[in-house]
Amino acid sequence: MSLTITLEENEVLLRSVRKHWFFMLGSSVTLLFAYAVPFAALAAANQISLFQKFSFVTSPTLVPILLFLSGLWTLVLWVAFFSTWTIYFLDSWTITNMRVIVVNQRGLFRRSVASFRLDRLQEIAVDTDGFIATMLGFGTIHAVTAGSDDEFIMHGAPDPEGLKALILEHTPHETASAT
Amino acid sequence: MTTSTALSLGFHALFYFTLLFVVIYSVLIIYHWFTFGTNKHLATIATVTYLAGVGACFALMGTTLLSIS
Repeated sequence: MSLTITLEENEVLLRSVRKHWFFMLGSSVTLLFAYAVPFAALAAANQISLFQKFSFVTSPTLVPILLFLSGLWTLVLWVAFFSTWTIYFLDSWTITNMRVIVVNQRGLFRRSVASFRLDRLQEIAVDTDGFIATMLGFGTIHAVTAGSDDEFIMHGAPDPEGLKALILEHTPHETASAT
Repeated sequence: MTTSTALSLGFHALFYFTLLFVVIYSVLIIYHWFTFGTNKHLATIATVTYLAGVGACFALMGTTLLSIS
């Protein structure tokens, strides 16, 4: 199943998570709205032009052009949707019994991969902010490790309390504290 | 050059430019799914869906391109 992550000896993959589906849904609805705008504008323009006894959608000269442009617009939005999905698909946290691998995909060519070992984990916190986040069960996870100023953050993590519990379950008890 | 010929040439140029752009972009995006993705099965489904959509759009554009003159 795993294409990119090489596990160490005795390392077991526990869970691989992406952002909550709500974020993908939000982007999809925006794209769908953008897709509908030119067609709605064309329908409105056609309604207005009907008063002059002319129809865009039945004109033999304009129909092929409109079909071509609608195909082009569909293609643009289709590619945009998959670009958005790619960022969603590749932005992930992989939790094993030894470490957490954090892939931060901010764009098609903006990607960072970092990991921290669970025995270095010093503090882990969960932040659920807002009505939608509370109802749908997503939030932000903050993890701080010993000997490093870096804070590992995952925005929009699904079931953040469950992920925190899973990480703490496999963390040596004397090192980490939960807030 | 008549207006209809110029229009036809313009749409042909737009079609081939879009085709070139989408082919390059598709190679990049599919490369990302299979190189950096963590689920090969999902990447395969995405590739088939993506290419089917792209193919349908180009089929529509290509068919109507013949009627633009």
